[in-house]
Parts: sequence; structure tokens; C-alpha cells
Amino acid sequence: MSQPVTPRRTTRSSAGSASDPASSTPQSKSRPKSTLRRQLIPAAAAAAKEEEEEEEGENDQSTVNVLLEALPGRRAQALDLLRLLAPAPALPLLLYGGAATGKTRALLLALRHIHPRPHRVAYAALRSLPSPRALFASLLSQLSPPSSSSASSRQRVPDKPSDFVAALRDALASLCTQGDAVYLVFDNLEVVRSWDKGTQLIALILRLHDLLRLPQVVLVYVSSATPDAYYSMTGSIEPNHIYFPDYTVDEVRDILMRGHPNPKLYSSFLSVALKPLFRVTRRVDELGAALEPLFRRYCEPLGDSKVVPDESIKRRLFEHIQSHLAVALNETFSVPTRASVDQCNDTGGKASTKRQFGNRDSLTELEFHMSVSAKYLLLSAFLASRNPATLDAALFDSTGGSDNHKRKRKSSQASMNMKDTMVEEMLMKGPGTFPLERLLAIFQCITSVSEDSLDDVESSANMMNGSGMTGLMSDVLLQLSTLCNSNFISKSRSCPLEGSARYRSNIDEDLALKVSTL
Amino acid sequence: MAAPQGNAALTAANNIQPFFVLHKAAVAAASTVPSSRARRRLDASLPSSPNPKSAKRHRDVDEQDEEGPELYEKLRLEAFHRTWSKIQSTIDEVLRGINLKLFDQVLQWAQESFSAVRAVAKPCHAEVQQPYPLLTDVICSRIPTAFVLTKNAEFVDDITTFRDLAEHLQSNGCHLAKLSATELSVKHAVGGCFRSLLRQLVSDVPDVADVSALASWYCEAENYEQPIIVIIDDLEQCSGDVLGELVMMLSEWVIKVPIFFIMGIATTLDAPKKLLSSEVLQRLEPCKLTLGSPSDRMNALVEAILVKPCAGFCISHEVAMFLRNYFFRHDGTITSFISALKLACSKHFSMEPLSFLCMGALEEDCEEFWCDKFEALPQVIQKYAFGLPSCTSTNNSSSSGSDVVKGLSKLLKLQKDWSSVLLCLYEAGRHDKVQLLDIFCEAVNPDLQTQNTSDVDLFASKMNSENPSGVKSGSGKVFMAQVTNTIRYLPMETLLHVLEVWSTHFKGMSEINDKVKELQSTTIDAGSARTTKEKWTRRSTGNTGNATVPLNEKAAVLLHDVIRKYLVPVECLPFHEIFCFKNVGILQSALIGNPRRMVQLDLLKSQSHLKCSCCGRSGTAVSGSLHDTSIMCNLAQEYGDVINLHDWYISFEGIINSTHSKVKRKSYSSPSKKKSKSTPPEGQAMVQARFCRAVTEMQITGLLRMPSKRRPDLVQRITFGP
Repeated sequence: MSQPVTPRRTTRSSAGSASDPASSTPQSKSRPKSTLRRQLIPAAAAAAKEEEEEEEGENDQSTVNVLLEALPGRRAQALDLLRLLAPAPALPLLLYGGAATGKTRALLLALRHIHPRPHRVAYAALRSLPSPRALFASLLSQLSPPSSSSASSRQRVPDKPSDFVAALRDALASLCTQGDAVYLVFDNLEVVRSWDKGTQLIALILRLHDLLRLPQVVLVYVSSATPDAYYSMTGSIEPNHIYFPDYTVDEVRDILMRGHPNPKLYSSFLSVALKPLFRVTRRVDELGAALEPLFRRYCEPLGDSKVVPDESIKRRLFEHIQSHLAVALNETFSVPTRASVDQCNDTGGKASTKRQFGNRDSLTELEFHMSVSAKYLLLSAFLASRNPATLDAALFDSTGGSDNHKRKRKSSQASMNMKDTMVEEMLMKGPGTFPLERLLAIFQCITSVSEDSLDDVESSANMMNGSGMTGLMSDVLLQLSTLCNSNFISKSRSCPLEGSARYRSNIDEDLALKVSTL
Repeated sequence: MAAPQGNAALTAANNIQPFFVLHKAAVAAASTVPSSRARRRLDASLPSSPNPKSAKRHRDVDEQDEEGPELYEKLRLEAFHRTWSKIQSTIDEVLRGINLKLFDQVLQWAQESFSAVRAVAKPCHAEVQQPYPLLTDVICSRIPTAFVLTKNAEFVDDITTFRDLAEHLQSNGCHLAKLSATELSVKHAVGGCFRSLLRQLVSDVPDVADVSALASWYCEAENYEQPIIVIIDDLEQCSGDVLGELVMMLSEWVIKVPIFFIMGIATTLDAPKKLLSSEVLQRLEPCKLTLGSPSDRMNALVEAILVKPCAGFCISHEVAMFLRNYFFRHDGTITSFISALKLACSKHFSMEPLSFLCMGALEEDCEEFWCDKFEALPQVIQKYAFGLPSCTSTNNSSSSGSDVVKGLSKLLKLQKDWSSVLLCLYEAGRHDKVQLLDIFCEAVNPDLQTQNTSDVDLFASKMNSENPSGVKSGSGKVFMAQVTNTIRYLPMETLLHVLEVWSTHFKGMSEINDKVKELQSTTIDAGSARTTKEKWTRRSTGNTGNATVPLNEKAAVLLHDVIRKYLVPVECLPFHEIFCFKNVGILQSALIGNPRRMVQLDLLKSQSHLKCSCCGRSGTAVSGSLHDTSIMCNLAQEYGDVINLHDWYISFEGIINSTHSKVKRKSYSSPSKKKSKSTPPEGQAMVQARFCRAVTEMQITGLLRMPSKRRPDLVQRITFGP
């Protein structure tokens, strides 16, 4: 907590504004005591703590209980945290475990509850800092005295790591003279690895303990990567770690149940929905996001969400939810349509169930507008990408004359022969690349044929056909850039003047099929 | 004019500079027609274009008249400005009307999301500025994100839409920032992108940009009560990594600083799934909003501009067909449709001498306007008016001004009837997904009238003599037949609704309106009868109950009658040339620009543009005073698909040197030629340098390709034919 320590004793009911009575005692007194305590406290720290400090015992116990209450399923970790954080430890601390396992939350809560209250906490979430400089600036401004923070921190932000360490030492030294512990928290440590010059920065951050050599400074790292990822390369001191394992089903249920307005109904819902979804993902955040719309659907037949369900209702609701559940299992990212007020709500439901049963239904129509020539171009790109160039002659050569049927049959024959090897190859290699010339040649072949067929069908427009279709060639490059922009075709970088760039079509067969039904 | 300014910003992005080929001789350095080259540039180049064209065209109409041309030219220019500004304002209004519905939805979404975020926690200012996250009971903090599907692979139309959306949200108090794909690129990375976001919101951006600067800005009193909305208008073009990092960064803060995203998607909802990792997607709370599809917008535009006579200007069947094909086959953007229409409009006013009479349609009392104008016209133009092809067949000998005025007002009246009938057709056809543009194209087809021969209509009889007799009979009425068919099978409720709309459309035409009323009354009777019957008809026959069939039939017959009588295409009316743009060729050549071909043509025929004295006489021979590139291009025509560099150089050198001897002899002919040329023998090095430059220029314009490693002495020609 960044607020200055207040010497008076207050109640600890609101953790954010509470000030610890123990913090008013001089640091020198509390330290030896606490080192003693550290050795004493084994796994069950709560019980030991109770014995140790008589005058504060029940008070302490209640804070621990508050903490444990706020961290369901994290009892062991919370106790470890309290034990390892409390009086400034000699070693840095590393919290690690998968995403959404409550690391940051546990740490922040524990920092509110630890016994000698921290003099100052500087917190740097590396994910929300775009550059090393931002990290330096953020830390220094948090450590500098609040009165001058805005003015002085803006003046000079160190560019080089060595300057940063010096500045940090200055800032910390002035704080540590007062004797209390200062906590430096580095959250999301793993993201630094992907930064530019990230390895050097990581080494710096991890070696801060050695570099600073200030006993009152406690370094806490939070990471979703295991310690091996860092300490194998830096050679610095191994910190204490606390591992946060993934939640179990029951823990997840507890977490999800917390503070729900209608616990009976929700627990009956969870008993149906949680297990299958838990097989897909174990992350609480993902589960929470996936379950929320499902629960809304679950309540749909009820009308009143305050109903306490009995067995028959449960069964009815189960039947109702079953089909939706199957859909939800296959969907990682569902985007609900925002229905305008007058539109009835059940259209959305119908659509989603339809998607489940008839996947082929959605093939009939393309959802967005595309000009005919762009469609042809996309199809030719698709063909060029999926077929080897050696097949082009067989597929498009005009030896068959302008006879459409003959050509088609031929293509199917040719593809029949090559099918086995091609399918195998395609799976192995993915779509291939092709030069612009090949694309244009195929495009011309397709459009020349289609012009014939269009003549028959669209006699009303035939006077425009001459200009319409041959004109297609003219702005092909514009269409191509449109397709590149919409990521349907990707282009390798090369000199634009030479035109030797190679292209690759990224669309799948479904989309190609949709496009081809013009 | 206010309208082109708006579009100027839009077109500036795609501004392609035309190539200028200049002549060395000092006679007249002119550019090679730049205007019709790049099609997206049309708007920018248009305002200036009428003048030179009209001056040229004017000559053949009234050469004798002395003071006339300038005056009428000015009048026509004014008419163009007024007409187009009317059309443009109509377009803006229509598009805004369509978009407004979406905008309001977006606004509502933003407000709802904001209150949802605030419901989770309402942090005080000190809490917002803390660097560490708030501890709330929310399991996962997600950024509310609206995916706006623009439903068009082409992006051009949506630039204005998103700009308007930004204005709309901003005027409703939201803080707004826009990030473009260039900012969300790998080059700028997440730092640069965040900095540009910050710069749009915070006036004083600190040296090191991070979220805390945003937080402290947000805590200022005047900023606190509104959400921050970030618009990313083209999601597909963004770099997924950078966007992902930005989302991760902001999602940690979303409760403290409510930032929402609006992302424009041109294709399908798969785009974000392909672009972003699942972890990032997890941080988005998505919501799908859909923009009106391009064909919906097109229908609305066609109705407002072309069907309802909004400014007097109209287009012929050929032009309509061309525009339709252009829209569906080539481009599919409203922007280019509008610019094509604008081009047509400007060409019309510049080419048609009487076109300024169009203004009459905008006047209160059009007849008086026309009277005044027409009386003031010089004799030649008056004669021209009666010489219009559409009038020659009417054998009235007394060609007085009042005839013209009568003719014009009759034309307007008939046009109005035509448009109401067309709208009725569309109203019925809409239930069968008939597009207005399609029916429109059929309804302006002059052949339509030849098919409705049975009537002894004055105009129809005239049509027969005028038109190249219906060769393509039977082809024209596909959609209309579909509409009449639709009416036969419309369920009662919709039919009632359609009839209601009809009666509003036919308000001006009393006899038809009476018939519609009559039909309506019978339908209502039948409808009430049917409700009693419904109990047992519902199950067995569905909609085609016994009572409805004759009514549907009656409606269809009525529609058929009306079509025959009143759907008179504008091209069948006398004096339609004054209002109607027919020259499809000029539009076509302007829109389907073929830059490479045009460059080559201009290079080959530069004399015709430059009209210089030195090469005019020489005729076919290539003159050395031409621009080097032009000479080279001419020489290249003699080769096949590969050109031997050495041969090419030799002939180039020959031409250069031959003119030098010639120039030396009669140096008086071009006094201001360059000094380098007056030195008698052009140095070998100089010729080589000029040769190289010319080849490079030809390569840059895409006329040929550089030699390959395998055959270093040959270049490849890319363009062929004149």
C-alpha cells in the first residue's frame, strides 16, 4: 500500500485503509522475532501464529480467515505467502502457475494482510507496460515521494539499465532509511521474454536482488512460466517459489458459486454444465465466460430467476440446456448478435441450434458483398494455391475448345488420377504460392468460360457483356489488393515494380464453395 | 460546393499521380489527359473538368453565335453545380438515415456496457491511479467489443461510415480515439500504437507513455463519467500480435478506465478468430452489429436519386445497365457508383447544350422558368431544340417556345407517374427479394414500350417509329414478370400492406388511386370474411384460400394495367435529351481506366495531344524531337515479345543523331531548345544515358520487364497492340 504509515491503531475491517499496529514498532525489534517465527511456522501456520502472539492472536486469526475466505481453494498458497512475505525475507519470491489461478489476487490480498505492514509497494504489471523505459519510469515514479512524483519523474527517465539500477538504488535508499520493508512486484514476468532484448531485461530484473543489496527491499515475481524458464539462464540466486496449481472441479465450483444471487438454481446448473466444460478448459476465466450465456439460456424457460428448482424443473431445464451445451463445447468464441429492441429474441436461439444440426446450411450464402470479378479472382487464387502448377495445362488448356462440359470432365479425370497424392501433399504442405502471372492466366481462363455461360443466361444484359467481362481484366490489380487487405490472399514481400511477388490464398474450402455459388 | 470536400479526404488516400509526358519542343507542353485515369480520383478531378470539354463540344452547335457560348456555358455550369449539390445532399441524407439506426445501436451498446462496468465497481480516483489491479469479484475482466460487420469486401464505403460514427459518438459525450491498420502494424508495435491512442485523448502526452498516464487523464473531473471508445475500422488489415498485446494491456485496466473497442470487419466473424489468439479473444466481450448491406444502400440510393426525380437529371437505359454491371461485377462500392453518377452528370451538362434547362425542375414555377429561358435563347439553339432526335418524329410544324415548355412539363409529369409506378412495383417485389436497381433497369428500357403495343398511346406509337424495332423482345421483363407473379401469391396481410403503400404512391393519380381504394375495400371485406373462415382454411390450404385468389388476381391485373399505361421510359418522351444522359461510351472509357494501355497509347500518339509543329508533318516517321521514352516506345512496336537491346539502342541512336543533323540545319525553327542539343554530335555517353533512362521509365510504367540473368541482352515486352 502506497499510503504512509499511520501510527494509530484502528480496526482492520476494511483492509484497504487499515494500518497495522505492529508497523509502528521499530523494524529492528520485529525482525529477529519474525525470523524466529519463520523457522517455527510449518505448513499449518495459522495454528502456530495463534499461539505465538497473544495480544494480537484473535485479530490475526480473523485476518487470516478473511484472506482465506477471499481465496477459495488457495489455502496452502495463502499461508505460504503470509509466511514468506511477512517480515522482509532474505530471498526474492516467485509465484508461478497457469493463467487464472489467482496468483496476483492472492499476492495483493496477502500484502494487505501481512504483519509488519509494507512501507511501500511498487507494482509493475509488465503486460501493461509497452517498453522497458515505461517499466523504469513506472517503478521510479511509484517509489519517488508523492509530492514531487509528477514533476521529477517526468524530467529524466533512464534509458540504460545501468542508469535505472542506480536511480532505483537512490530512490530505495531514501525510502529504506525509514526502516520499513519496500516491496517490488513484477507481475506477468513471462511477457518480457518476447520483448525486444527481453532476455537481458529479464536477467536484470531477476538479479536486482544482487544488484541492490538492500535487505529491506523485497522482490516478488509473478509469472505463468515455471522457474526453470528463468533461473537456468541468469545464474542468480534461486528465490523461494510458491506454486499455484490449476483449480479442481470443486474449487472451480466454489469460485463460481461465490456471491451468486440464486445459489440453488446456479448449483443445479453447474452440476449439469460444469463437468463437460471442465474437460475442455480448466481456466476459471474461460469457464466463467462460457458459462454465463449458458446460464442465461438455462433460466430462459423459468421466467422468474428467483425460483428454487425442484426435481421436475431441474429435469426440464436439463433437457432444455442439453443441445446448447453441445454447441458451447465446440465454440471457443461466440459473438452474440445485438438484437434491436423490436426484434424478437428467439431468432438468435434458432440460428444457433441450426448451426449445430445443419452445418451445411450456412454454406448457401456468402455473408458479405463482393463484386463478381473479385469472386472470380478469389476462386482463381484458390485454384492456383491448391493445385500444382503442372496441372494447369490439363485443367485449363484450350485443346478442348470452348466446350465447357468437355473441359470439366477432363478436369475431373485429371484430378481423379492425381487425387491421392495431391490430397496427401496438400495436407502436408498447405496451400502453395503462385506468381501473379499464373493467377491472371487462370483468372482469364475462368472468366472467358463464364462469359460464354453468362451470355446464355443473361440475355437481357448481353449488350453489356462485351464491356462487362473483358473489362474485368482492367482493374484486376485493384481487386487483388482488396483481397489482400481482407486477408483472403497473402502476398510475400518483394519489389513491387518487378511484380515478382508470390501470392498464397488463405481461404478454406467452405468459403471457396460459398464464393463459387456467386 | 461542400460535398466534394468530404470526399476529397476519402480519395486523397488513393491518390495516384498520373504520368506526365512532356515534349522537348517548346510549342505546347500539355499533359496527357489525366482525369479519366484512376477511377477513385474522379471526385477530385471533376470540378475542373467541365470547362475544357464543354468549350470543345460547344463549337459544333453554335459556331456562328458570338456572345452565346460563354453565357450558356456559364449557365450550364451553374446548373451542374446546383443539380449535383441537390443530388449530393440527397445522397448524404439517405446514407445518414441508413446509418443512423446502427449508430444509435452502437451508442446504446456503449452506454449499457459502461453501466455494466460501473456496476462491477465504481473506483474512486485514487484507486484508478493505482498501478495494480482492483480486486473485484469479477472472474475475468473483459473489454466490451462491438464487431461491426460492414458486409462488403471493399473497404472504401466504410471510411465515411466510421467517420460519421465517430462524430456521432463524440457528440454524445464519449471519448473517442481511432486506430488505423497502419498504427496497429508490426512496425509501430504496441508502444507506438498506444502512444497514438494517448495522443488522441490526452493533450499533454508524457515522454514515456503507459496506461497510468491515461488513468490520470481519465480521473480529471470532466473526463470521468464517460467511456473511452476506440474505433478500429479495418480489423483484417491489422497485425494480430500488436492488436492482441493492446487488448491484453487494456483489459487489465478496463474496470478502472473503461475502454471499449469498436472493430469494423469487412468479411465474416471468422476474421477476429483467425487474427487473434484465443487468450486475447477471451479478453473481449463481443457483440455483433451489422451495417446495411451494399445492396440495401443501393436500393435506397436508387430510390432517392434515380427513381424519385430529385433534381431533374436522369440516365438512360444503357447508362443504367452499365452502372448496374459496374456495381455488381467490378467494384461493388457505393462510392464508385456515386462518382460514376457524378461523372455522368458533369458530362451531361458539359455536352448537352440545352441541359441548363434541367434547373427548371428545381424551380418553384418551372414553366415560367422555361418560358423565360427559352424565349431568350438565340435562334440557333431554338432550332437545335426542335432538331433533337426525340422531336423530329413529332411532326408539329409550329416550333414555338410554348411547345417546348409544354413538352418539358409533360415530360416531368410523366416521369412522376413513372416513378410512382416503379415504386409500387418495388413495394410488391420487395417481398420476393427483387432489387430496385434491377427493376429500375428494366423500367428505363425503351424497348419496354414497344412490348406494350396494344394501347393506342401517343408515346407508344411514336416509339415504334423511333426505335430500332424490338429485336430483343421478350428479354426485358424478367423482373417485372416476377413481381406480377409475386403479387398473385402474396398472403392477405402483406397484400393489404402493399395496397396501402400503393395508395400513398398513387396519390397524384386519382383514377388509379380510386381503383386501389376499391380493391382495398373489397380486400378488407374479404379479409373479415376470411377471419371467420380461417379456422378451417388454415390447416388445409394455407394462404391460398378461396377468397384471396381473385383479389390477388385483381391486384395483379391492376398492376399490369398501370404498367402498360404509365410506365413510360424517359427515353420515349420528346425532349428527354435535355434531362437524360445517354452517352455510355464516354462513361465507360472514363470509369474502366486501363492505365497501362493508356500510358502506351499516349506515348505512341503523343503528337495528337501535343499538336506540335515539328512532328505533325512528318506523319508516320518517328521524329527525334519526341520525348525519349516516346521514341523508344514507338521503336518497340517493331519487335515481338522480346526486344534485342542492342538493336533497339542502335535505332534509337540513329533517330537521335538524324534529328541532330536536321536540327542543326534549321535551328531557327525551335529557338528555345536545350543547350545540350546544340552541341553538334551527341556524345555517345549522353545517348546511352538517355537510353537507359527511357528504358527505366518504360519499366516503371509497366511496359516492359528487365532482362533476366539467362538472357541479359533481351528485354521482355509486356504490353502489345496499339
